[in-house]
Amino acid sequence: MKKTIFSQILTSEKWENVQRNWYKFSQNRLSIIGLITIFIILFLAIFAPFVTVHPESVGRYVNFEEAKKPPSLSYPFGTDIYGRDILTRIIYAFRVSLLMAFVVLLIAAPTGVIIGLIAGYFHGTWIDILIMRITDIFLSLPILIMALAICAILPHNLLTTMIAISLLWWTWYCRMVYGLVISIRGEFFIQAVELIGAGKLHILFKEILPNCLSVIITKMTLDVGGIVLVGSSLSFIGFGAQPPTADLGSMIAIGVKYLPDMWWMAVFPSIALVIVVLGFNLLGDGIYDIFTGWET
Amino acid sequence: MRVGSLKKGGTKLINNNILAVKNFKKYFFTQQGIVKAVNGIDFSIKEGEIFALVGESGSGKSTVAYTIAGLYQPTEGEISYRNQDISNESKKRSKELKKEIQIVFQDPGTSLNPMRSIYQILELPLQVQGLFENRKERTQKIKKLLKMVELSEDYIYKYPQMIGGGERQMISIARALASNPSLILLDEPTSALDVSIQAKIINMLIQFQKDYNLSYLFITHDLSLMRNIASTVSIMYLGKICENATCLEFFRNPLHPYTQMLLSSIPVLSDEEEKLKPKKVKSTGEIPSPVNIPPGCSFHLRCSKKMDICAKEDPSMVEISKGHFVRCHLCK
Amino acid sequence: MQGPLVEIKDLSLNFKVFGGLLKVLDGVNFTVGLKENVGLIGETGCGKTTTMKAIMRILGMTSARISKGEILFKGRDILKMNKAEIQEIRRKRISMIFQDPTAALNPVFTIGSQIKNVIKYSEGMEKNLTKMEIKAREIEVLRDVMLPDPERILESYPIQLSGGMRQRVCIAIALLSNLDLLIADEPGTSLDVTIQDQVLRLLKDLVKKKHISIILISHALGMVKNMTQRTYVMYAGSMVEVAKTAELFTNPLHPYSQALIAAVPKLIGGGISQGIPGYIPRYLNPPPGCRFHPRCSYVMPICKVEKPPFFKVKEIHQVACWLFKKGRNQVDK
Repeated sequence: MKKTIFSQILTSEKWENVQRNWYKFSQNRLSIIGLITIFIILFLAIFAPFVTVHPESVGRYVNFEEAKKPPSLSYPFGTDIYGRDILTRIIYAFRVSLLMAFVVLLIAAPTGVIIGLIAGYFHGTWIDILIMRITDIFLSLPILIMALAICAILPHNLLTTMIAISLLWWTWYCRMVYGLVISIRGEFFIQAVELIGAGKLHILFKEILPNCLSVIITKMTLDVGGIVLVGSSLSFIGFGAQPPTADLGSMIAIGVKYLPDMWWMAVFPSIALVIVVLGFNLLGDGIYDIFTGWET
Repeated sequence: MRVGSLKKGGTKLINNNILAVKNFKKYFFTQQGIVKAVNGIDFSIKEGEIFALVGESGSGKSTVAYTIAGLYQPTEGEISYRNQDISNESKKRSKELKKEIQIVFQDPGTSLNPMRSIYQILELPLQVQGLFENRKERTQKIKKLLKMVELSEDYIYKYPQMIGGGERQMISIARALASNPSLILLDEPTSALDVSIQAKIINMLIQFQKDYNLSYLFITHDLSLMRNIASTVSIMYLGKICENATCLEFFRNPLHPYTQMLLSSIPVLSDEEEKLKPKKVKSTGEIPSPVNIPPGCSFHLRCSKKMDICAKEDPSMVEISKGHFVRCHLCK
Repeated sequence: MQGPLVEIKDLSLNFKVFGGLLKVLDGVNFTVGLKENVGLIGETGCGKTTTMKAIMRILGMTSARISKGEILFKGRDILKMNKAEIQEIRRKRISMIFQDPTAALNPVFTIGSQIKNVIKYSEGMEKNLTKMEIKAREIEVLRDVMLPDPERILESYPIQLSGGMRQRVCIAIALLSNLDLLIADEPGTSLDVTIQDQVLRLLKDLVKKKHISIILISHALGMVKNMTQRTYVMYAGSMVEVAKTAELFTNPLHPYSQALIAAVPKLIGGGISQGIPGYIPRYLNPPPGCRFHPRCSYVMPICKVEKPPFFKVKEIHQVACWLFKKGRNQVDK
């Protein structure tokens, strides 16, 4: 019986925390717009087969009778040169973009954070110097060019593009966490636990890391937009998802050739790209407000 | 080199001293020069006493505490705890030693990890020392600790930002008591707190000292507070001790000019206290930086009674009366 | 000009936060006369700084709402003034110095440039001073606060000066124009006690020389005793007692004042008092009636229901406590 009371009180305190965080988040209307936008995009991406009218548009499909048609009731964003519905393709393209962002973050963030933690904790020793110089080398390479180089060696597909971006993306997390750890390490509460006798692993992961989480999570949210952009730029030039898979970048690439007559082929995917990136940026701002907001 | 295991009561203390410091120096080597934070001090703390170390900024009092705790290693000199040498860093100290000497920091805002709950903060010393076997027993002990500092049990779910400065400081004290230490170093524990909360915490500290036979190294700049709780008082200035006496003797007969300057600067509330303050000494001058310690007696630039010898020669500690030591050319 | 310099009448102020309203100030009554030194003592969180910021109207966050009351400065309500009038007041009539001089000075500008800016926007606007005149004024102002070698200090950055010197610079900046009122919010608390003593003596002399009124806020009671003629005691958003300073410290009447003054360790010894049981109330749901009643050892039924007004005990000595109704001036124990 004691255990349930324990968990009841725990939930009510945690629930109050959730409400308080929501209050801080919702003070800025733009953050709410960002949140709604992301929800819509996520919903569309997950339930794509059920919400799209022309699901065949994502496969190997041609219908030259309906090709190059401007926006209409049955094709709200028009059709492309093969007769495929652009709206459907955009919704499926969200899947590709979000998948890329999540996979890259899943690889890059933990890697970068752990390396940064180690380098920061051993600040001043050879471990620190070795790690940070390697990081510096990776940081100095421009991401698009590096991704190009890697994709040129490996076969062109979505997986290799994701690997390429991850190989460079971790460095930002490493740098950021490194700086944080150095400043947190000198705080009294860390010295207090060192004097109590806590082990290094405990200090790194249970004492220092939680203090970095707010910055890491905010950065991850903002990075989704960034990775989507990089991925789209790569697919714009032919890497990333290959035809016939729908991808925002390649759609824009093809659509650009038909400006200005068949403007809908480039404009709608571009607007969709902007909305995704903007939505995540606004959400990231809101999340930042939660962490830096006032305590009552 | 690890310090051997220490048994409370098993080692016979010389002169009943739980802590003895001899010719202790701590220098920091920086780009601006050598910071002589502590420049040769001697003192000892008897078991069960409250030893007050008083000084202003730059005096080195916090450095003394941090070195005893193990944050730094002494540049020179000896520190011994229960007759065992402990002049090595915390990393190299034995678990038993870490249990025996605990520290409470000055700023309640930064001495507790904001991302850890009170439960987790208090659990850590218990886990490290392996004092209890399972989580249930640890929870019991934590609740007992909270009760000792007069906080309710549901504080275990709270986080440091949710509670006030006084309560945070009480948690720091509870954390220090968790491992059953013998010596607690208190670095200005109540300086950042309001006077009514200070009264509460000081009363608690005195009670604990009696109940558990603790020894305190109490660092502060508040002489009025020391008057009421300390058994021995030492005044530090720029890394050296200028006067050391029992509390009663100290306030009856303050000798060193810096001590007199300190006493005359204290804002007091009643007229009878005003009468106790040395009249003719008004505070003048700035505290020099520890990088640029004046030659001779480090206080001579601000001293109203200085003589020629003060600029050239650094005075040594002289015992004026039993237990009352002064470092001044005037008092020989 | 007759009448008090500053008169706060029944000021109530709330902050809108998660969970409702923080009823921080609850009917504050406060006056400062011409050339008078007034102290304001109270512990952390009682609303002292909020009240002062309300006078200067620098509350900043838009979540602050004044629900009632007025703040009269020389007879005119500050809360109803427009932006230009407030700027005028901040430039020339009221100045404030803060607890931490390091935070009050911009670390990336030299002291000289910071003082120059203040001169430019206060006197400089009217008199059209030349560069030489401004420089001379800068040096004059630093000499007023007893800083040695003013030329060197003008060239220095705040970080190169000691804490005491920075506080003096802040005082110099605050006293640049011909003020009527200086608000000092815990000056010297962050300084060493010997330096604090010097700075406060300097402040006392300057205030006397320039015929300024000063509001000295502190939780260090001894500081207030040395510098003021009349002192208010504040608790949880309202004033609970006001008296001549000497009278207050020898004969405090309100139970809170008594406990507070008793809690200060005395140089003559006598042990440490027990402190005050309980904690300051949460402003989200403050106790009804007298906000001190949950912690008061003399609590009566009426205290839990109705907030006591100020009762006059002596000429200047007033207490907001039901124990003192009908002119009683002793606490019947």
